[in-house]
Amino acid sequence: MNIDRRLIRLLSGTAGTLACVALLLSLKTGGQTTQAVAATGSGDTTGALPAPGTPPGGEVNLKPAKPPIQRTVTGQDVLTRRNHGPLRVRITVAEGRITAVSGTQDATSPKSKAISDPAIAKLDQMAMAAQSARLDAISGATYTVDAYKVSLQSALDKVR
Amino acid sequence: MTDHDNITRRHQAADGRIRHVEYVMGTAVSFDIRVPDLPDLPGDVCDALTRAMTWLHRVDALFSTYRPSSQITRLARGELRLAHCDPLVWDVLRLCEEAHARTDGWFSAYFNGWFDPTGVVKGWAVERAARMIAGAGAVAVCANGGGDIQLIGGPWRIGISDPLRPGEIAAIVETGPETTELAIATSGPAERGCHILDPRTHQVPNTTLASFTVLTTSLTNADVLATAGYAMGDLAPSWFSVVPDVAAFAVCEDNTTWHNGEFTRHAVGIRA
Repeated sequence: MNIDRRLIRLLSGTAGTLACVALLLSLKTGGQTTQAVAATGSGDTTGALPAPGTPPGGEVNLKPAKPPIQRTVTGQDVLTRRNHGPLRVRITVAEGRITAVSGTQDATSPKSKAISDPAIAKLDQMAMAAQSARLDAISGATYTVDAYKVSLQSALDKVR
Repeated sequence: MTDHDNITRRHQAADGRIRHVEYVMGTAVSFDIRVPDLPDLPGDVCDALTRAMTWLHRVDALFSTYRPSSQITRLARGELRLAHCDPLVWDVLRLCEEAHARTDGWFSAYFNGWFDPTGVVKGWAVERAARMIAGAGAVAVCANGGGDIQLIGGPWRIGISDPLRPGEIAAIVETGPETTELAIATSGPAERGCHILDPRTHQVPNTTLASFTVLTTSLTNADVLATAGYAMGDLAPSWFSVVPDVAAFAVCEDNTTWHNGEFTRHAVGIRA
C-alpha cells in the first residue's frame, strides 16, 4: 500500500477522535473555568500585555485594564499504537477557551512523519472546529487516535 | 482498569459536570455528566460511574473477539457451549435475534459464519452504562462509545462527522431539556476499511453511501439500524422512510445528503 492511501485511511479514520476531543473541549463552559485557569496560573503562564491605557475622550483610566490571562500547557508524551513515535498535544487557553491547539510527534522515521504530520494537523483543525461549533460530541467513525486524546486530556487536566 | 480515585478527582475539579474517558472495548468511551447541586447526589453519581466502568470492562472480557479467553471466542472455537455461557451472552443472543427480525435480516450476527455479536454489544453496553449513571440521579448524561452516542436528558448538541471531508461536520442535531432520551449512531467504512458485509452476499455492500446515521431513543437499536442501513445501501432511503420514530441521515459518495422526515425534528443544520 502506498503512503497516499495509508494517509487517506489514517485521515478518514481520525474523524472519530473528535467524538472525544469535542467532549474534552466542553471545558469552555462558563466563567468558573476561567477563574480556575487564573487561580492556577503557574508553569508556562504568559500574561499578555495589557491594552493601551488611554480610553477614548482623553481621560486617564486609573483602573488598570485587566489583562486576558493566557496560559499554554503541554500534555504528556503518549506513544502511538503504530509506533510512529511519541505524540504530545499543546494547548493555549484564554478566558476559559482554547485559543490554539497543536500536536507534535517525534516521528521515528521519515515515512512515519509523512503519515502522521498531516493527520495531526487535521486533528488540530478538528479540535478547534468542534469548539467553535459548540459541540458536546461527534457521531462518526469509531477509529481512534488514542495518543492525541490522552495527551490532550492531560493538558486539559493541567488547566483545570 | 477503572481508576476510582481518578473519577473522584475529576468530579472535584469539575463545576457541576463530571467528565470521564475510559479506554475499553478497543475504543475510547467518554462520559459527560451534569450533576445536581446537592450535597449527596454527586457522590452517588460518581459511584454509579465507577460501577458503569466495571460493567464495560466485564462486557469487554465476555464479548471481545480479540481476546482468546472471551466467551465469544471460546464459543467460536467450540470450547464452550451456549448453555454454560454467562446469562449476559444469552441476553445478547436474544438481542441479535430481535435485531435480525427488526431489520428484515439486514442485521446478522452470523455474517462471519459463527456467532459474532460485536455489532450489538458496544451500543448495548454503552446504553446500559448511561442508564446506570442517570439512575443514580444525574441531570443529563452524554455517553459516547467511539462515536456512537447515548443521550439522557439535555440539552445536548451533537455533530455528525462528514466522511467525505475529514474534520468537518455534515449535520448538527440538538436535544432540548424536554428530550428524555436520544441515541445517535453512525455506520460507514471510515475505519480501517469497510467492516460491514451484506448478509445476503457476504461481500462489502454495493453502495453509494459514505455513511449512514440513525437517531432513536435507544443506542442498542440505533447502532443496529445504522449498520443495517449502511448494508442496505441504495435501498436504505425507502426502508427508512416508513419506519416510525426513527430518524435517518446519509452522506452519499456523490457528495449529496439524504434524510427522512423524522430527522428534521432533531436537525438544526445540514450541510449543503
